[in-house]
Amino acid sequence: MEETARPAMTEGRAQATVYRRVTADVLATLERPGLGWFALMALVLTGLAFGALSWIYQIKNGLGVAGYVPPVFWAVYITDFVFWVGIAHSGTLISAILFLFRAQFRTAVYRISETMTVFAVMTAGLFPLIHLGRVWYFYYLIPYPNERLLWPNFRSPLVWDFFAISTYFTISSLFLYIGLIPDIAAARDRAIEGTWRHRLYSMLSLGWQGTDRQWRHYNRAYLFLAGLATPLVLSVHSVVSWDFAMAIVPGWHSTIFAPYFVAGAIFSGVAMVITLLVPLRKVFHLEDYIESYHLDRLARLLLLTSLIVFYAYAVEGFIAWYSGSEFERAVFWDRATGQYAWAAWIMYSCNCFIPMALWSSRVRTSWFWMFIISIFVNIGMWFERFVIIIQSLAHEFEPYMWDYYRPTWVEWGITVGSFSWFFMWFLIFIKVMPSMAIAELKELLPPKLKRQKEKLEGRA
Amino acid sequence: MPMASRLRRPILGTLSVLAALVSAACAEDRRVDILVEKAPEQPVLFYHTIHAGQDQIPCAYCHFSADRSEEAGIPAVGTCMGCHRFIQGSTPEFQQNIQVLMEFAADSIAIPWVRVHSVPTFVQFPHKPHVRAGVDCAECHGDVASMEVVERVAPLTMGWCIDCHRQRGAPDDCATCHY
Amino acid sequence: MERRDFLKLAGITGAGTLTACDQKVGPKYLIPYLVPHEDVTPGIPTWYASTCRECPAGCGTHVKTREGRVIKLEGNPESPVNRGKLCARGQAAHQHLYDPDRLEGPKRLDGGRYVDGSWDDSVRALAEGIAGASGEVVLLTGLQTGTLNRFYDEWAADRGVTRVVYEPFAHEPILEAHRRVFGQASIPAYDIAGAEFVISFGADFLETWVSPVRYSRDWAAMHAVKEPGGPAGVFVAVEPRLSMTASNADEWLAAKPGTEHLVALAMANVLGAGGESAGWSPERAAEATGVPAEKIVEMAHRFGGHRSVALPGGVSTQHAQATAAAMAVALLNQAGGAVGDTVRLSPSTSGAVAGSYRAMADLTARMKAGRISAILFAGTNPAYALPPGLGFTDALKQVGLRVSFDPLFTETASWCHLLLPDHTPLESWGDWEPEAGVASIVQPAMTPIRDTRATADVLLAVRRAAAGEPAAAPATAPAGASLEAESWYDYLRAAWSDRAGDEQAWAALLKAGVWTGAVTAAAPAVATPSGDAAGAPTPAESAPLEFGPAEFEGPEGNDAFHLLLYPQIAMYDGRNANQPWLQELPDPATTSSWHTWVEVNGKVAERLELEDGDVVRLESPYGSVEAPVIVYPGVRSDTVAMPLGRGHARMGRYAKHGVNPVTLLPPVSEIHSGALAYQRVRVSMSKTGAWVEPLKAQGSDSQHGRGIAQAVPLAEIIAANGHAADDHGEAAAHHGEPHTRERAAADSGNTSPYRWGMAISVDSCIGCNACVAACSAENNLPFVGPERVAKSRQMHWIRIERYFEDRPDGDLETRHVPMLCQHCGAAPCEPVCPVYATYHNMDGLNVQVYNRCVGTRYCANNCPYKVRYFNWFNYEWPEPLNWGLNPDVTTREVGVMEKCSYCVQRINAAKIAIKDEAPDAVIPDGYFQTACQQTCPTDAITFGNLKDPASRVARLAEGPLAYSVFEHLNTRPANFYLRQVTGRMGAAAEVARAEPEPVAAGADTAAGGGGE
Repeated sequence: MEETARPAMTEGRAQATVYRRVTADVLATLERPGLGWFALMALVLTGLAFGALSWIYQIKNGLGVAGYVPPVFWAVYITDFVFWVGIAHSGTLISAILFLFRAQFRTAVYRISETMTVFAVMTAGLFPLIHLGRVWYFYYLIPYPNERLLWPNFRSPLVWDFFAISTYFTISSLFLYIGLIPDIAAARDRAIEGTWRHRLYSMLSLGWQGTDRQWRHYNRAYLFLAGLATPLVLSVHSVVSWDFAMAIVPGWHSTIFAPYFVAGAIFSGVAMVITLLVPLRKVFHLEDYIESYHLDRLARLLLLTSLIVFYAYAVEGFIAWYSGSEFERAVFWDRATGQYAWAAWIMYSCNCFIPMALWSSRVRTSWFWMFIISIFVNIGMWFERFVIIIQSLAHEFEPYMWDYYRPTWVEWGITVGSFSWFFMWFLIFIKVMPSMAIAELKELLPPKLKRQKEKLEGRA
Repeated sequence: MPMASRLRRPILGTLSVLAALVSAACAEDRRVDILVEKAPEQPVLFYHTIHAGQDQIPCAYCHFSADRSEEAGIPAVGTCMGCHRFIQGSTPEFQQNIQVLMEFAADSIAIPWVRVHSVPTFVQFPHKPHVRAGVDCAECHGDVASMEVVERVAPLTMGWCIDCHRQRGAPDDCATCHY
Repeated sequence: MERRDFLKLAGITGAGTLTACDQKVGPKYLIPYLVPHEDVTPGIPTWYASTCRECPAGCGTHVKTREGRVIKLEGNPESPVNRGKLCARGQAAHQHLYDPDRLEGPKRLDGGRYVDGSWDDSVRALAEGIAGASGEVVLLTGLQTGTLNRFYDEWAADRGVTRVVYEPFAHEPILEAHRRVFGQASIPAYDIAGAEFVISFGADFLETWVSPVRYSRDWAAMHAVKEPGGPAGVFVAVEPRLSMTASNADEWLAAKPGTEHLVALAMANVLGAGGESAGWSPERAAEATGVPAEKIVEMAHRFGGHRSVALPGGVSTQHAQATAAAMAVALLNQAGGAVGDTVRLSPSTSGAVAGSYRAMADLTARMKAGRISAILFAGTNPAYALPPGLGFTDALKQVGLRVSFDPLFTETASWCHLLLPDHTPLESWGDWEPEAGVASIVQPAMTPIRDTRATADVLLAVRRAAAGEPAAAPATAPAGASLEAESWYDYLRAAWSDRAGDEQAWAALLKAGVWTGAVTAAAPAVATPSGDAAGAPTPAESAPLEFGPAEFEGPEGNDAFHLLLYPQIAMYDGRNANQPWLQELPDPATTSSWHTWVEVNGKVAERLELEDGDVVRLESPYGSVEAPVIVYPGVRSDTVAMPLGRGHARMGRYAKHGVNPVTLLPPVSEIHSGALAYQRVRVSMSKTGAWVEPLKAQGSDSQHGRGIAQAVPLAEIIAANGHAADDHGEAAAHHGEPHTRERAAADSGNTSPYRWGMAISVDSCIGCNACVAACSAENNLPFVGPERVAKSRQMHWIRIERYFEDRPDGDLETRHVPMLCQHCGAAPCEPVCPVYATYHNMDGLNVQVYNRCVGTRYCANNCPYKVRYFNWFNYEWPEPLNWGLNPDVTTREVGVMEKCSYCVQRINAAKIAIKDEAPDAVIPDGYFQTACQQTCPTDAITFGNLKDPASRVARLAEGPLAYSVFEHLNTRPANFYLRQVTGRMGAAAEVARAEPEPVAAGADTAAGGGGE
């Protein structure tokens, strides 16, 4: 494989680097947080509080406090839901799929993307509850034996969602955890006896000693989970896309949705990885481990998925025309020219045009520009969901009902809250868990490399 | 094994949380049964044992509209006085109770009977079809004739309704009761 | 949660004592009656026959009560007026009774504040006030007929009190015109049903004019396509604005404001009437009116060639030429030989006895002169209805004692020293004479809910208090009835002694609700226009008429527009303004509600860069108002239109919305009839820069060729003799098999004998929204208020979609489509619900289980018809509005989806009832009706069992006109729509198509599109 031919680290630096330093550098991230960290934490906690209050206010008064305007019965909450599920994707992609493909460049970044996955799913999982009219009856959605002799409707994509998301959450958090075990052990060994850290690490490391036997089991388990997680990358977002594709709403009812959503998810996911990676690298001085080489690889992935999304948009247009359905045509035309054109064009430019800059390798390897672009892509993908959901509904079958929806402060509040919630967990994580895979980084050091290569050939 | 011991607490914790959720949900199913007092104290000590039991007065004499209306009907104070203008009670205790009734009648205040059998407002329960279908009063209300103070014996939960409906081949369509 | 408690509580109790409790467990107490009530069984509705008093038409009603509470009104089939039907105002009548802002009891003004008084004191105060009056005492009543009218006259005569009658829409010009032409001041009975050609000059007879429900029925009978594909009656409307009535016309001739009658005159001329019409050749008329000459000629020939009727009224008899206009139409009827045939000059319908605006002008003058020392207001609200320029309220200050009998604290009441609230009609005894020979009983359906008293009783008490000798009772006093009567009821009873002597007859009468018989001796008296300053014609009245365009005063030029004020179907003259269901009722023309808007033509809007919601200031020489614009293609580009009836300063919390455009009017009456000229000024229109969320329910005025409202030319039906093709090729291009009655019928359980379904006629639907109000009352539909309507959150389970089609001749074609849950056989809403809160039941109903719904709203997204409505909040029913809730229907809580249930409560009731006949009896066709079907004045809605091929609905569904909306989506709806039939004008329409030029006036108004 091309990646393995080019070691992640240049000779010179490889000489200079010793295992101890790897461990030291990585575990350095766990040291007592600085002022910046507390400042950020304070910020996200405020945001979270705002979001929580908005939600309480909504529960007290009813969903009407959100901006819903029939026929727009779904809006920002579902937009956020799909957005976060999307974010959750690259995680598994980078860690599982690239692992199976032995793409070495993943090593430096997969831990971050995995944690991102878990926290993003945790965030996404809130929205189905937030958008319920009577959240206090949410348990009607859970299949449990009840005195009413009633079950959920297994024909409903929303129930599929329930299972898809929970499965995905279970697997990805397990995957993250297994991957962490050796590093936790490393952390445990350097933690002072009797501190809470030591106690925590000892419990979570499950008595890891780094023996050959443990390593063998570990690799098996990891490989196994990687295999298990890979199909989920496709399944979960396909199911999410069916929330729309299974409906008859023009602009939703389309067979391309599953692949289109998966590509979009990976697109936004990779963007988010970059968004997080860039500052992290700076703050923790991980320049030696996360190099512009990794960035370049991520950028290519971003470009690829951007092209797929671009293609999906084009196909939508084609189908709208080719299907001969006046309703599809009307919706597509309205999307480009109607009252929500502003959102549609934000989406087109952020997802299709701006990423075209990635053809230039100078951009691909520039931390600054990649950061900017990744932000744009995040925005663009949020608007993609906004447009798909709201614009399609607003221009539905019944001309009598056509109307225009505007979000209210409650919806913005809860959206801000969801971002805060996500970053809160992330901030906690980087201070509690090693945010890079120590063991695997070591694997990449020159001496190991030969063996690794042989291992690969042996397997192949 | 040490690891297991370390894990026991969290595992037990999770389980108990789940258990709590499920039981909460089940309790929600039975909310009427739980929230509404089973045998509340009534403003007048009225003995079904005497009226329905000893005197064998048919239910429909007082609950006059059960066989033709949605409501079984609660007797007007006038109905009580129909008899108690003449019947003063055989024991001091009875006389006392009847005195209470007399006062209500005299001050022409409607007696605020406390509800024993109650269904949520989103349930439409018409007595008529049930009575017409030959469901005996006692099947839902219990053997009132033997109750000093009327007490709810049936849970009045949806499952309970459905069971009976299915046994009798009555419709179990949601729209039979919910609209 | 009070409303919910009440429901179940009311379900059990007679006395409605409320106790707080949880909806989920029901009420805590069971309160029995003290004494068993003979005609009330808890849980079983009791019906009383009565008469609707929400407008002068006097429709017979059946009032449904449960446990002593009025919960619904339905038309009385016995009544010759409405024959079982009611309009939206009738359907919402009990919100008048349950108005939360009603006066609690008698009050008197004490040091600038109103303090509660007792009835005895109040009556004494009133008696003394009248006795001690130095000057004239005036009893000012609204329009009255029947016994109460006579009582007022008699009492006034006895007390030496002057009686004045004031009714805002009293049709004075029509009375005056007929007085002049036929010597009888009455509104003739127009036989619309019997005519083949109906031409209306401004008369909005499907909305508010004289007797809208009756005329709607008659219109439907006239306009219907007589099977098989035979001829159908033709209806043409001549008026400057496309009113709801005009929107149902086969042709709308948008004459310039104030010139409609010239078209009639020219038509009469063509028919050789001579006389006044002689000078008016079609050409001359065409020039004056903007209606092409050949149109006029064509209409004239049509009129002469068929059994025809021409209707005067509405906006066309409210301008400076009002009387002339009414006369022109009368002349046309005469020339066309309609008089005595379709126009019968019987002694009048109830319009007749109203006083005129001039009477009020005189009254005001007398008050200003200080000649009046006491004034009593009964059932009228001049302080709201009169143009401020008249100075009525200032004049009031000269009057020593001012008394209001209104149940509400109206603008007029707010000027009064004594408030002696009367019962509302549903609590009152009385009668009403819609027309000679017909009397309709008003009987209380429930005991008064406030400390109120019948005005007649108060007046009797006053008389007793004064203990004066009765002056000779005037001739109008009916036999037996005298002021010696103990109470108003005794008086009424006595008045009926000749017609319903013994108790049995009386009971029978109360049961039937209406009495019909020979014209009584009293009737002619009804026909004399009372209320004028003096009975004798004033010089003005006998002054000769000259015909011409009505003059308008006010600004000239490009930004000056004729101001057209019209009574809106829900608000009428404003008396209904505090009834929230009516406030929220979408206006048929603009689909707007809760406010007063300005209708502006699309072209004008373009020129002045106005769009829906832009607030404009209208200025006339007499005043100015600010109101938001609604772009409406149905108003001429030289005209702006505003609805009347809103913008109350008093009356209640719901009435305050909007503005009262009467402030723009000059305080002058039309010279000949003395009527207030509502169409009198031009106004300048200027942008204020403000913008408000448009309260317009309809998103797009065009159906974009989606085949929602389909149509078929009459010729085509006759030719194709059965299979009519629709006019929306693409929209209805069927994928898979076409949807048929059999297919729909198969969509219910094999074991069920039913598949409920509907046939809805786009052709008959006039868009009056009566069904919406009926549904609200039957199914406890909440009103959500303007700020929520602005977000399209209204909860109407059935709505009237109003689509405009541009006709080849440039004219506007309007189609009204009642849209409600289609109860699809393959309902898109069902599979997506994660909790089975909505599903298809054995009888083919698409059921919504409120208590199972968690509110994902997925169903609403997936419903192509968008007929599912979500409870965004817990909606309020301020006490005592909640007393009118139907206990058989759950009130929905926040966060649940709801929608049309085909009145499942009625279906279930029928299923229980039918079992009394046989255990396995099947509900026969027409055994019960849904609320919307029951009240539809044109029978546009037919409900029934699609499985029974003999049922009416099945036969209609199999008919040539049937189609289903969005058929290609294969949702297999249970609602079949019947196409609109176009081209009734036949050849005439062809002529118009050939040369579009002359119809510039029409085209001009049609242009500008709507909203889109």
